[in-house]
Amino acid sequence: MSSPDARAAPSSAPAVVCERVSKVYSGVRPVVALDTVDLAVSSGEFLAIVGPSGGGKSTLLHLVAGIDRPTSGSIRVGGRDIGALPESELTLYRRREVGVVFQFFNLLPHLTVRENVELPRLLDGKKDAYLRARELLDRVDLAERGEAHPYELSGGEMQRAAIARGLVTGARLLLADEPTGNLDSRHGEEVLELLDHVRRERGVTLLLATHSPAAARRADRIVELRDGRFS
Amino acid sequence: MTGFRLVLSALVIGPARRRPIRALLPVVGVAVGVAAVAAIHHANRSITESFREAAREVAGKSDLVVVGARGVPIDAIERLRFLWRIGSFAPLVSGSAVLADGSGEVVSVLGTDYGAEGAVRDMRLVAPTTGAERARLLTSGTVLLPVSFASRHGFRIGSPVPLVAGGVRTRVVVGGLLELSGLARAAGGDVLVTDLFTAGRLLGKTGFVDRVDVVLDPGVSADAVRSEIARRLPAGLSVEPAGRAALAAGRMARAFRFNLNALGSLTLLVGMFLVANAVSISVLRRRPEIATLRSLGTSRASIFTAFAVEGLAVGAAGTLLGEIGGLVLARIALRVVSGTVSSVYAPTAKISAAGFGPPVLAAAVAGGLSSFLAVLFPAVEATRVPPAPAMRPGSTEQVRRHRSGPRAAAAALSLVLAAALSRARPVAGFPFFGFGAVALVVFALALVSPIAVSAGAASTRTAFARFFGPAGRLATAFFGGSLGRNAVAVTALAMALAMTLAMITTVASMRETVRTWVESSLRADLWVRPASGRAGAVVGDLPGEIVPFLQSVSGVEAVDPFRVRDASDASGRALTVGASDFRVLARAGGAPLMDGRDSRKTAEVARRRGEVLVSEPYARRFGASCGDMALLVTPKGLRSFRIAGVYRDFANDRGTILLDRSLYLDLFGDDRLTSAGILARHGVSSEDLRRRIFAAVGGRFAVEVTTNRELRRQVLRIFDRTFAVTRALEGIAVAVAVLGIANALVASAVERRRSFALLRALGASRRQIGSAVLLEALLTGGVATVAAVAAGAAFAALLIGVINPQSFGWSFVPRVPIGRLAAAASAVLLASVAAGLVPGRIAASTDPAAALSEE
Repeated sequence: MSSPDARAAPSSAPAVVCERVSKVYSGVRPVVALDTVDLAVSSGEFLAIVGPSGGGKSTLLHLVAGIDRPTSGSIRVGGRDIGALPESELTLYRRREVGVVFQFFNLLPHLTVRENVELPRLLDGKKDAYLRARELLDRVDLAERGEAHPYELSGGEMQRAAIARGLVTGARLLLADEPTGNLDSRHGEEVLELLDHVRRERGVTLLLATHSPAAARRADRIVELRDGRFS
Repeated sequence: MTGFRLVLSALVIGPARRRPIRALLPVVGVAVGVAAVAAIHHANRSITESFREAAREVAGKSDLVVVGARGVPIDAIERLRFLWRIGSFAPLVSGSAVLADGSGEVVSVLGTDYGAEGAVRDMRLVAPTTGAERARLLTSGTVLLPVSFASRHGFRIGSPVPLVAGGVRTRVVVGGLLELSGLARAAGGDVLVTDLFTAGRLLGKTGFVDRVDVVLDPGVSADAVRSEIARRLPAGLSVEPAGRAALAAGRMARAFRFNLNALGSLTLLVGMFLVANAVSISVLRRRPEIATLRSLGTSRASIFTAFAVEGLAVGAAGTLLGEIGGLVLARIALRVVSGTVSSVYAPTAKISAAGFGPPVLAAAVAGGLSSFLAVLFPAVEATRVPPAPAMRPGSTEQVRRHRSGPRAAAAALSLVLAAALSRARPVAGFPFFGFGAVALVVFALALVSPIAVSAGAASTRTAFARFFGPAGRLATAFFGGSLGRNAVAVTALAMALAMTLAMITTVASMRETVRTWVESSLRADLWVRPASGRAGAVVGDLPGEIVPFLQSVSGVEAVDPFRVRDASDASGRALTVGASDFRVLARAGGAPLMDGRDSRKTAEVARRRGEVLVSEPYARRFGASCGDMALLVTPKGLRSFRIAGVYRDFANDRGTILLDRSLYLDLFGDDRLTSAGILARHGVSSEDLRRRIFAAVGGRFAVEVTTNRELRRQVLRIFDRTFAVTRALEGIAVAVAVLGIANALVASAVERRRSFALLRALGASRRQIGSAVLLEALLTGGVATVAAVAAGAAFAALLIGVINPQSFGWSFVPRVPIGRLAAAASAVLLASVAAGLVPGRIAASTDPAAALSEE
């Protein structure tokens, strides 16, 4: 396990910088999911975030993914404070600059595997969505399964398709939230292998939230998030 | 029991508590359907009851009634004297007149024998109170008025009452006032009671009464007395149970009520689909919970019962809400409907609200039953959820896709069966098999809808992607991906729209056929009829002496005295007998023959041979055709006539036997006219001739003279007015269906929150998601419209070719009003897009973080 000061990236300009980021869910009893967290991730780095359930891993990834906004603090990705972006620009950020892989795959059931992969690029109006999707499906060994529906795939295949979807826009930041949490060990290992390979060959920055020590061991650096704070 | 309570809590009560709005949507759907049914049923029942009530007040306590083909001659009443030993009897003359006090109101005129009246009908004199004053009531020309009617018009005892009766202006004097009870309540209290002689004079029925009501002492056998009366009566008179008149009254406006009932049922059917839709959605949504419960050992029966309970609860809540809405709608419906019935079908009819109890009950039964039926299929579907694969998203749709082959085959079989049923004959004058065929088309539509949804999504995928970009691509994926949900929405909308398109086509065909019929049957230049005041229908009749009078007016080429009256065949079946001067018919035409022959030549031959023409409804109802014999009860007894031709006629659905006037006069001895057609001499215009007639009439007759063009317009105006309610009901059915789409889309948007959240996480903008849902609504409307056009064509063919001819004896030349059909379809398409606005907004506003955190 890395020490708290290892949260600062050792070299090169950081791709993601979180400064005093807090996230509080309001309610009768407000819940502090993240408590003034600082984090810097270098470009091309593979960072594993570990910690118990409810520790704030998914919340942190949602904030970096632009799916949610912090209650306070700033998150800069590529130099831009994404928490301060207007909704329209935040949408474009999600569409072009970040890919997300979820624990439950989150493929749209009514689209084919290829359509699922094409989707983010199509949302951006890109004409080459089909070719890019075929290329990436080939890369994740799903070339033959492109016209199948998600419910026809195994868990490992679904997660590989989700990784292809995360990469299709050419985003340089990939966030993976417990990508092996719903897979058996063999398929889990395959998915981790794939993530590691593609981030190396494409120079992608990878943030991986995981419970699995084996998964975390592949990372360049490991941080532990517990009760909304790095420990 | 505890176990089932937990199942119910997990599948029904818990989700409803957590998302009450979602649970309320199907309740609203049922409520709208139930409210429409309750309102229509109430309006219908009020019409029927008002007619029956009026008939009952006139029939009083009578057990038997003596009637005749031309009424009962007063001298024949002598033969009933024997009845005083075993009961009593009272004659009655009835008709209508128009108040000439400026109000133009139509009143019923009832002539009675005051001495005998008390034993048969209830009649309470309020004023005068002294014996001497009461004796004056017997003075000719004296009438009794209900107190409320007299006070409304400012009449007091001794007041003159100006009237138009029997085509002449006259005046009677108020002799007394009646309590508004018994006989005085006939025609809603707008009644004028007088002695037999005065009524006979006013109505041109001197020497005859319309009926003699017989009341028997307790213990006397009605059957025995009936036989005895029949034995003593001269030819042409008959005795029948008193209830038959009330039944005949109920037949009035039958087509109109049928029309309302058919559309009311359609609204409920659409509501039923809404319930099915709601429960289907809830089954789809709760597949994981069902699978979990099944994996824990919950029986299929428990799952089924839980969803059945939910359906019934939705039905009960919707019914309750619908009943409340129905009370409000019923008042509006009754006002609209009663106005049409009074002014078009029966001028003296006063439609008042009948008790609301039975319609409430009927709507409750309809709502509850339809909800239960609607829930059956999805509840059975719920029991089939397999424990393991159901956890996978999309598994339901996968299963359904595999069933498209058998579905298509079953749909084709339904249509073949429907075609076979459409060829069957009616049962007891009712097109049971025709309606069976309609039900089979509905069934085929429901079966084919999922296939249509799949095909719709596949065929529009490329075009939508090209025109609408990512939103279009998402829309086709959403639409084709949610087969179960979208198929039910498409079925409901397609059914409502199909029925609407079919009704538009049927009404347009009827209107066009009626228009052509009017042109070919109204050949005279002018029509003379008794002044009818405010009423649109004919009130009373004209004296026979008007015929030579009209013939004497300069510019008149010929006069066709036209007479219609109620009659019956040998077995007492009611029909209409008409009389027209066949010489005029032979000259001008006017009875368009179904077989295309020249009606002028046929009329000439018929006149010479003493044959008759019969209307199309008569031919269908009595199974008669050209060359057969038509049987008619006349004052001279039963007569049979050879049928020279069958002519198209929309005047009534009972069927008419049309006699040459000379033959009619010989048999019925009735020289009065219902109206007279006038042929103008060459070079004399209609307007000019009308002026000449009015100038000649002076104060001698009270008539209205209508030109050919005006009468044609009047006929079509009445037609349009009759079907105005139909249009309103079509609107309700489509509104319910569009509500169904909105319901389905809202439920679907709520259900797909995670998908929308994911799309937002992947970079889809709010606009793209909102547009996708709107386009999905457009696809739903579009596929429903295409399905509706096909089903509508089948419905229209069945309505025009089977149900209408079998119900009313009318056949229509099909006419497809492309413009109106396109307008209706476009309106539905627009409405369905509008129905996507709210769910589109819900979808677009999905918070991705919150929705994705739910995992």
